Amino acid sequence: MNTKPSPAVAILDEDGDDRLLLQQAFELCRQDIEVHSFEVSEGLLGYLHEQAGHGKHGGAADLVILGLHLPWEFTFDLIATIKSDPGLRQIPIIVLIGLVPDALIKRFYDLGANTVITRPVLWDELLSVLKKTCDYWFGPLHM
Amino acid sequence: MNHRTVNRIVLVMVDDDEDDCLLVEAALYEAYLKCDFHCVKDGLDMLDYLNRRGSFTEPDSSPRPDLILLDLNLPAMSGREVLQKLKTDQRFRSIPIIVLTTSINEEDIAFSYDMGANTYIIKEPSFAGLLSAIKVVKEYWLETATLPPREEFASRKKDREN
Repeated sequence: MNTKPSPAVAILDEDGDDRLLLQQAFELCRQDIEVHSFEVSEGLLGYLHEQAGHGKHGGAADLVILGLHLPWEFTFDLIATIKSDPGLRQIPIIVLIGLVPDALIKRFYDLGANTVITRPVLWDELLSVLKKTCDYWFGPLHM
Repeated sequence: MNHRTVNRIVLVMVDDDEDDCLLVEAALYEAYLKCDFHCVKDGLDMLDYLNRRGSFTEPDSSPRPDLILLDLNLPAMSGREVLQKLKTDQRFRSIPIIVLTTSINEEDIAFSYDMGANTYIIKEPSFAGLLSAIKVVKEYWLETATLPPREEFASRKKDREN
């Protein structure tokens, strides 16, 4: 069974305010959550590899959140990188998007994003969406 | 929010036990998860369904799934094989696959995520357990997530006609 002390989320977003919002939302959802936020992908990948090296859970973080303020091409490459790495590919990736063409949504799923979520503009709605996401991935239906 | 919540989603389940299909249908009903529900009996049927072969040649009776519920233990072709086949097929890999199972085996979990399952959830082997799983699926996959778009369906039909 689960021997990890607490669930861990890794957030990547170039926007500092959004990083903080996302972090707060997850901390409100669960008190024992470990939130790691990163501004650049090197930081995120470094953290994921380091955790994977410790043999945590067969993977690294429990959940990766890719924020709204990342260039599309960059996000595509990052998902492809994580999902083609045998040590990291098991980690669920959640992509937050704004209003984008359908073709982009399909591309995210094609590359292996576990869920694409449209990020609400209002703080209350964002909070509710992230709470549902947190409840889902760290709830009783998951290990 | 899902941009397509107004439309009924197409939910396809793979399960060899007809009673299980009925139970899931009952749970969907009780959770108010309105959808176009199809149950196919094994992995081979799932592939026939998606490819519109065998007994699934009518597009109206085999609409492209918006979500797939997959058990790992299936006859004819195992759920593992189905998962692998769908996630390596350019035409189908974007369809979210929910592995819904009673197995808490860590190898099954690791394997499923390795192969590209979008999520692996564990249900208690009772109707109450199933119902709470369906409610969670509804809240997350229908009310929180943005599912892949549907229009590639039309282009696939065009491909077949050409």
